[in-house]
Amino acid sequence: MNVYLYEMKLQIKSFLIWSGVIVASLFAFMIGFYPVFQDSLEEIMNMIEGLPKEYTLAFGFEMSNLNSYVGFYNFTFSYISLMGAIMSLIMAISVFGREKRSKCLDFIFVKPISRKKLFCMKGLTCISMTTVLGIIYAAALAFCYRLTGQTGRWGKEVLVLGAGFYFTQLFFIVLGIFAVVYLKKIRSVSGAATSFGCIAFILSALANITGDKIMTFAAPLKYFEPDNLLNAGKIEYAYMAAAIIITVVCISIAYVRFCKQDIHAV
Amino acid sequence: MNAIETKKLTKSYGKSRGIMDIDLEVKEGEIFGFIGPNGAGKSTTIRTLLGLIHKDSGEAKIFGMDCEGEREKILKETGYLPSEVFYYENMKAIDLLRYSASFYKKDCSKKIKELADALGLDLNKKIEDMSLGNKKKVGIVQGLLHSPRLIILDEPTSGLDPLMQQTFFELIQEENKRGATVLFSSHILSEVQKICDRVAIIKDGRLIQTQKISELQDNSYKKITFHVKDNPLDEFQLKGATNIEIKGQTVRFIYRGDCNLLLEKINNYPLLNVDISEPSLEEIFMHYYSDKNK
Repeated sequence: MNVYLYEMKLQIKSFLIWSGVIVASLFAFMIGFYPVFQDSLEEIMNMIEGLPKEYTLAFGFEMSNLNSYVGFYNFTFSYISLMGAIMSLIMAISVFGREKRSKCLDFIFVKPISRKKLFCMKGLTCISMTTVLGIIYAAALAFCYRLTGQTGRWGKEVLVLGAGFYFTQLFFIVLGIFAVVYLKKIRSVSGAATSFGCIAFILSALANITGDKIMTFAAPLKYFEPDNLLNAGKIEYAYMAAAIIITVVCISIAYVRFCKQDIHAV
Repeated sequence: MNAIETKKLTKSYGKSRGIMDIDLEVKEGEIFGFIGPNGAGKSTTIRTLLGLIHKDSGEAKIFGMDCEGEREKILKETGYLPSEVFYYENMKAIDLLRYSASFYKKDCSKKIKELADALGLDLNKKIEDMSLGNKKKVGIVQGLLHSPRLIILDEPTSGLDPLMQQTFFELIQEENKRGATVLFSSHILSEVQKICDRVAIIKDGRLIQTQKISELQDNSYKKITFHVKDNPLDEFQLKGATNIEIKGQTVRFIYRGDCNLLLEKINNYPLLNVDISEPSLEEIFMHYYSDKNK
């Protein structure tokens, strides 16, 4: 457990900052902006309609949906999921790339711990933190629902939407781990994570603009999009299946490479 | 029992050379030197023994255990000091050493303090703020803190000043007295000669020979250069002198033999300057090859 505790200790500060920013953003959108948005719905709609269609689609302004709480959350999720994805990538690249980045792979790999166990301990660090944030996020979302007086199936919606955020984070953790075992050098963790996150956001924007359902398979931020989760049809289940398959394949390849790769002198 | 035993150990890196058919036997309790020029295959051999890289073929065992199959058990008993030391960013030496000790499930705090005191290392300093020499000291402490049965040193003295090198050799000798086996890799023959019992010579990925240090010293070569006044020399001959080069008034050769005969011979010339030094490892290897080809 020493590797797990060590990694937790080193990651805790970044985890608290990112968690704070994500939860604060959720509150800002769903408690702060939503009521204001509803009060000025007509003016905002008019303003949005004046913008180029590609622009509004790229940034997630789905006109038909914005007036409902879930619709507004769908818009909010485009940005919160991006933050969650970058946080996950930073976490995975930091934890799994720590030795590569500090050029001290020799140090850790000559310790009496199997590579399998090392991989699992580092993975457990990422999963633990993501799970804690997942619970906090679901609780924060429930708080938003209750505070804005949402009724109906709010409990189920909170669970499903919270799970969507959680699985999006897990997916990007796996993507981060996969990238880090193949990257030869890691100069900047935040730089690498932001680049990957931005690519994912651009792919989502492209999928929104084209409206192509197949294109959505290349846009991981949309796999667990709230609309897809709450109104899942055949294609939406296929996105989730794609996410699961990519996750399993990437983590398996990363695991084998981590355990088998030669560690050359720096 | 042999502490280290390899049979036909081979590792290649695609087209570039690695190591080929290395047969090595290091007895338990000895200090074993492993010398060769840069790129000869010393680090590849060591990294294969430590399970950092995977062998292509052959066998590698430490204390009778397979280096790949029983890697964890081996590493519990092994301490390693690489040629270049790198550690985590933003970490104090003491935190790194405590983290290192946490892998061995025993209290290493006393040993850490003893080693740090012996080396004059400030444990509360951040590693990234340390000089190369002090980083190396951190490496020495982390390699020895768990009192390993086998100590593997890969070019360990680079970055240490001569005084600290002496302290380091004393520490290694103390560990050896305690019962530790030492594998000491270096490209500097003289430092291996200081503390090793036996030595293996590796070149171009192949083990050329293994011999006792005492035998190596008996066969010690010297590099001689002398300059004469006045007229250039046409020829120079002396029993035991090889690779003779004459360029104008300068004569260079490698000599193995009686020093008195050498001095007697060169004293016959009107000397301007004489330089007697240790030949480089490359020059010694050339002699091994020329001897073998004869």
